[in-house]
Amino acid sequence: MFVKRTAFVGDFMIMKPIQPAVSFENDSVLRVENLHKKFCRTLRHSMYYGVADSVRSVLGVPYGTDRLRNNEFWALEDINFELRRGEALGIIGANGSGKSTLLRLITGIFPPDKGRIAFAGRIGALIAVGAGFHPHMTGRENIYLNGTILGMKRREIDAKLDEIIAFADIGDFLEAPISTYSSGMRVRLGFAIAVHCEPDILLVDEVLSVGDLAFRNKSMRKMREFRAKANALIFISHNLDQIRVLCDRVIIMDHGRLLFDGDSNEGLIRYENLCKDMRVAAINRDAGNRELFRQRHSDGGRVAFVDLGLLNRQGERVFEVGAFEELRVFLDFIINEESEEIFFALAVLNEAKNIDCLWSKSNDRNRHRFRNISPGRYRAVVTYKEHHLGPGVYFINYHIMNGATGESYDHGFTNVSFSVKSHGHFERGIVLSQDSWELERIPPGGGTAGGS
Amino acid sequence: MHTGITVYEAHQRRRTGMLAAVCIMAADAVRCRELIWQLFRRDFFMQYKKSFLGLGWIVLSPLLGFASWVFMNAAGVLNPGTMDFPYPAFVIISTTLWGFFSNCVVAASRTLKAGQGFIDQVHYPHHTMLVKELLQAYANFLISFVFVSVLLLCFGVNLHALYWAAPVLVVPMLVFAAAIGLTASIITVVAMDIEKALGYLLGFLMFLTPVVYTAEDRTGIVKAILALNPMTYLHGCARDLIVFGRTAGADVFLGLTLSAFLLLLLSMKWFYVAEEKVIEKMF
Repeated sequence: MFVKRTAFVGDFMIMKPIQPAVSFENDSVLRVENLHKKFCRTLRHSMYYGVADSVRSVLGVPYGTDRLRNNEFWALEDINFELRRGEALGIIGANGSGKSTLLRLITGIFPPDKGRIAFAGRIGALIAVGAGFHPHMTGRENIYLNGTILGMKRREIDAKLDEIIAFADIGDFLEAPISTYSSGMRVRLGFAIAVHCEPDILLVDEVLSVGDLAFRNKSMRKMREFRAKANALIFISHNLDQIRVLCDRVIIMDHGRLLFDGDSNEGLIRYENLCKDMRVAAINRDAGNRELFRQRHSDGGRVAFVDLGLLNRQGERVFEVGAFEELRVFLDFIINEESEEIFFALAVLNEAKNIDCLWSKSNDRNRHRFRNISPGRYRAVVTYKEHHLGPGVYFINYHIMNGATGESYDHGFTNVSFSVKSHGHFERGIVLSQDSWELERIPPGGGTAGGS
Repeated sequence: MHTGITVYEAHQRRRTGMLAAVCIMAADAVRCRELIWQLFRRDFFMQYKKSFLGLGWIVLSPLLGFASWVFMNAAGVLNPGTMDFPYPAFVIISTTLWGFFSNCVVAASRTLKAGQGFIDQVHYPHHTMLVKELLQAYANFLISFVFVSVLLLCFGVNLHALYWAAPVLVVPMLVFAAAIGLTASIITVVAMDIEKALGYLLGFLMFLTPVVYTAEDRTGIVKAILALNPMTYLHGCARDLIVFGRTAGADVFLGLTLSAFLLLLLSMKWFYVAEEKVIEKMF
């Protein structure tokens, strides 16, 4: 579609000739297309590129920003999404995934290196509260200063002054220099000013976790009020409960790329799994540099441990298993001397390695007696038909013993790990179970009155 | 369908012509006048808040400079040249003017740094900080000027009628300083060398400019350098008009004033376009 486009540079409008259009239909208020942003890893290269690019841009000499130069990397790569009026979008991702950079590009603080951001109306950003506060100015003076920095006009601040003061709840301190404020009071004042800017699109970056519990609750109520007014909200937080309450849609960022864009419940589950994957990956990455054993007791070679891990139904080695799925753990070992009876114990420990979440012994209740084992290599496999481990990272310990004499052949506390992934629900804790809830009203005087 | 759509694209500013860039910057300065005023108020009135002398520091600095030049003259170290005006009065006016130029260069070079503390949190037209920084330098100059005037009148110095036009006569210097400072402000973000070099260069330039001496009676290489130095005229002519009510190089002064304005336009375009290439390097 081609329409006459009004390009804004800063906030000043320049009429441009007819070009490929930016047009919003339906309730769209923000569109991010093919967005790229690159940064430089080293200071020296950053200095060199900064000088060279600024000189080239003034001279009109073209230079390729589509490609990466030495020591540059994409902080954001090919980001595309759209936001509609009244929608609350949560952005989640690990540290360094590009969330704040994306917010800064949408706000206009950083220019894109490639791609385009288009939005309708006024954008307000709550990246850090109290921007530009001067410690020697009073609370009242700082309200005007900070409000102006955030883009409010004096008459707007005049009109909202009482509301801001009431929301900040700083009492008699209003006329005192803010250097005399506690950090909580400063944050409350900064947040109160910012939320009263009332932009069409509000970007909030991890600032709702400030202040005491009462203020956090008040801030959340303010956010919900903001949403109810049919404005659009982009919310960045590591607090997934806040995201769940505030947002109906989330995007997941990972290493500057958009991994997921969709329903918030589904997105949050994916994100929790992603975090676990990353933890497992980190643990596995470290495994190369780490000893296989944290501790090992071996009797000197009659039985030698070879390997330990998880198997899927096809007998292939895996490193993750879904919640409530079948869990198969194998233990490979070599018998060097014939053993009249052998048994195994396996323990699955939590990530902190301080709780045995699962523990089982092969000869328990005399179910499995492995007798007269001749020398050779063996694999023992234990299967849990429907394990109840909660999503997370787990480690495995093993113990190989002589069932007849009770002698210990080999006992290992290992760094072998696997992860349990959640599928479809929010699951926390180390044990999962099917649950049901009821709510009953207790009348005065005791007893229950029924109702749910 | 919405109207009033804002678009951010790569290299958006590179496509903006010089005149458009200057118009945008001027319009932004008008639109953001409340922001400029609030930040000016914050930085000007709060700069000496925790000090016993307060705004007195603004006059103390040129006064100390004045004392040292008068001492050197009295000791015979300095050869200021012949003049029909008391040397102490000449030197205090001249150094006040030079101080203003020097402060304007430094202030303009801080255009991007003026927003430190919120530049990474809020989108605002960064070029508006040039106005705020220059306003601050100009306000400091006006305070010094009033103080110097009172001092001269107390000592019975005869002041020419043009003396009172000083706040206008310094404008060409301000424009030239703004052009230099604005250009430097971009590089300063990327490399700190410029900020350091600027301090040394301004100190050095002062000796290459007839600030504490007159340009007359100079010969040889010194005369040639003084003739090539634009500050000889921008500062010297303004000072001569203020002190003596006349100047020998009025035509050069006017020509250089015009050039300073053109240079400022070029530096505004440079700042406008180059800023988006360096802004993220501030953090």
